Amino acid sequence: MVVIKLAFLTLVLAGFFGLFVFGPFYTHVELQLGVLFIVGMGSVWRTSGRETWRLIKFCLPFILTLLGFGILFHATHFLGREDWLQDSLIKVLIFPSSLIFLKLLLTFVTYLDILRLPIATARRVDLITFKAALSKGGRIMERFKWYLDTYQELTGQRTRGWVLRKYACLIIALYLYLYEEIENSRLVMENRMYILSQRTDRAP
Amino acid sequence: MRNLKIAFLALTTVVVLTTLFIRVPLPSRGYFNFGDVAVIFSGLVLGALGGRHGFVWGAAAGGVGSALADIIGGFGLFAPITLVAKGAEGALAAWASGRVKVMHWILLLLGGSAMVAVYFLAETMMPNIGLQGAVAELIPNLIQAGGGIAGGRLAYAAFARIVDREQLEGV
Repeated sequence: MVVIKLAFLTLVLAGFFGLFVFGPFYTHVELQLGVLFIVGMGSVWRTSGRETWRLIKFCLPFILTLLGFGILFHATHFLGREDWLQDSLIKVLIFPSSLIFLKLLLTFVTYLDILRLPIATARRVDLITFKAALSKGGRIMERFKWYLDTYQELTGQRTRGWVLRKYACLIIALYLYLYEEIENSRLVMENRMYILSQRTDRAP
Repeated sequence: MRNLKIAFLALTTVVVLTTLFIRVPLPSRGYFNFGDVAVIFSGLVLGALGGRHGFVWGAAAGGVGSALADIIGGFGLFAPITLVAKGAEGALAAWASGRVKVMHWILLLLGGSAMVAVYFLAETMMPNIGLQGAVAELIPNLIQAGGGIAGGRLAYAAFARIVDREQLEGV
């Protein structure tokens, strides 16, 4: 079932890219505008207006510089091409819509779907420990950052070099913490699996 | 091998978390992402741990971690390019791990350059980004690569000072 679901999502993704990004509708500006609107609405429905706006806001500096270079290339007839402006306008529409569309599709894939894939037990253990490390690491990182910020307040240093050193310390602390966490959780899991296998062997 | 696998999982997690959550604002572009610092650091640590195959682990930690961060952060569109670009950066950092002085720095710089080159070439070929988008991304990516090398090297030097080589194999 999971395999069918993932295959379907891949097909939808390939269809989208095949038609609007690499395919026949690439140059249709009005259609691209409509696609952006529909995809945006889909994202608002599936996630939230705030999340969709966050994505658009994040792309905005890139889109503006892309447009800026498009105008510059157009003015200088770069590489002898005359369509830089038209091409840049299409990209300004197509870039956010493809980004939001992929994000939208990924919301349909859950962690359980990945675990239900026909994979070996060892890989499944890796995935479980990785997921646990990710959530624990996210929480502990905030705490480490807070400790380091407190130190920054004490020393009163706010230079770029200090920022680099601060985050270098954070990376080391995070690595040492996660290493121990993963090692411990793997030991617990392996022990549980061993006991379960022993019980199964003893069962009549 | 067991330690190497645990180190790989821990470092991949570090790459994901730092890429997603540590961003320092920059005047040229929205922010400087600390993911590259973690990619270089991971490469150097896994290179020291993994011996001859260290570069494979370095590539996997850098590539998979950064690509996952792209997917989780909503930029799945870049995930395949990131996998290759950051994978190359991690692999070359791991390769630099056993080398000293000039060769060490050459390999680190090659890793940063490979990352910038892969992004540039891939983005040029993408119809939704193109040459104008790839050029726009060139300077931010160069800053990203330079900062990554400086920060990653700094983190590894501090790490190697507190954990010597024998201990490194047990951490």
